[in-house]
Amino acid sequence: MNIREHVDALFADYKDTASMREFKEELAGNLTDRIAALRQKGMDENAATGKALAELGDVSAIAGELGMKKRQEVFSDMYMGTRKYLTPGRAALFILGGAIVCLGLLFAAVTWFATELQVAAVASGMLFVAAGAGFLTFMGLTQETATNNPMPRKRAALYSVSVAVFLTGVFSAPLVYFGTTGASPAELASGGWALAPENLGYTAAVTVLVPFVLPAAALFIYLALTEKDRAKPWVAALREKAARQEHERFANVKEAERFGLFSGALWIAAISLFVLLIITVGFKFSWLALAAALAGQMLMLAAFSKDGE
Amino acid sequence: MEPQLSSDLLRGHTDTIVLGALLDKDRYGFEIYNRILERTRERYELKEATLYSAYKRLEKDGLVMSYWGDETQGARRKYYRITEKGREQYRQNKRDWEFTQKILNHLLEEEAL
Repeated sequence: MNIREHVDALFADYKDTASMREFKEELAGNLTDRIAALRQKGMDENAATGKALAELGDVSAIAGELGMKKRQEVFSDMYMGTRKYLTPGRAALFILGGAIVCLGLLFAAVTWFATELQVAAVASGMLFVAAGAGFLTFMGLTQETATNNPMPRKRAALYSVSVAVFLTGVFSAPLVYFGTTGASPAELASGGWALAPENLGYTAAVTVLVPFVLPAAALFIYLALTEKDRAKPWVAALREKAARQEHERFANVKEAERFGLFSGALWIAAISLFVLLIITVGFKFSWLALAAALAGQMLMLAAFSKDGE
Repeated sequence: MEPQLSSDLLRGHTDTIVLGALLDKDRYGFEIYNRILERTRERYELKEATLYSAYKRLEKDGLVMSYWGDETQGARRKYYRITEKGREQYRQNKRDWEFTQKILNHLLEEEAL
């Protein structure tokens, strides 16, 4: 191992920044001279290298200083970059998931153009799309990013199942809808349907949603409610800072409370007006109530904010 | 027993020692380290990391500046040059030390009595 490799090994755990590279170069230069000096005194190369490295002491403190300084300078690059976390293997799996979804869409399109049957098109594509989406969900959740730690695989697998089942249900509905609306009255009678034929499509479609969509949604909601925060420490710190600033926005607790009450009153009034306008003049103008409330909210925030010192 | 050198006490004056090593000419890391070893007859177990921290600190405070030497062969050397502010700081630190030394001596004499 030459000196350069020794130095690189010392700082293997640190982010390679410009100032770090410069420091390593300085260090390598000095170590080279120190080793040469020790060898002149009769030490062999290994002993001289060992002694020179031992004399260095704890360089991690300086490395931390250098790293930290750089980290703030290239904040976006450091924190927002995903390159560091996405291994080639995982990237390939992501692409595979996307390919499965695309394959499903392609099958559906081909079937549609060939047969012009919605049922056939949906049926040929749906399983691929559902499976692909479930797989992508799993990959996305187990992916470590700059801001989040990865979710445990078992939990991510449950999410992915719930997504896949949900989608299967959602795709089955149009399948059943088109399937039953195309059916002849005789077929319907043999199936024991006792409903008005014109409503049958909808009824069947909604009924088929239940065994898929309900359990899937329930599982998803359960998982979401029991979810824990997987944000990285720096994100948590940033969030805390934002909360503190939010808190300091108002001069005191009483002001904050009044702001909250006023806001609540404003939105209750706005939503009531919104509903009233839908009934009286329709959707064309009803949204104005919400826009006005939003403007009012901003003005209120401006009025309540603490005067800058 | 032989008197021992108090490394802790010396470490507290690392910045001043580095500034002092740069008074007559610009030096690079190994030279500064070597100079300290020679002057203390290798009794001071100085860690180089301590020196690197000092360089960073001194540079940040504008007491020294650094530049790369123009070596054509071998490893590059980073030289440090003392600034006017650094010289002023050195003189101040030295005065402080002489004053402290006097008081410490006085205190220790009293202890001896």
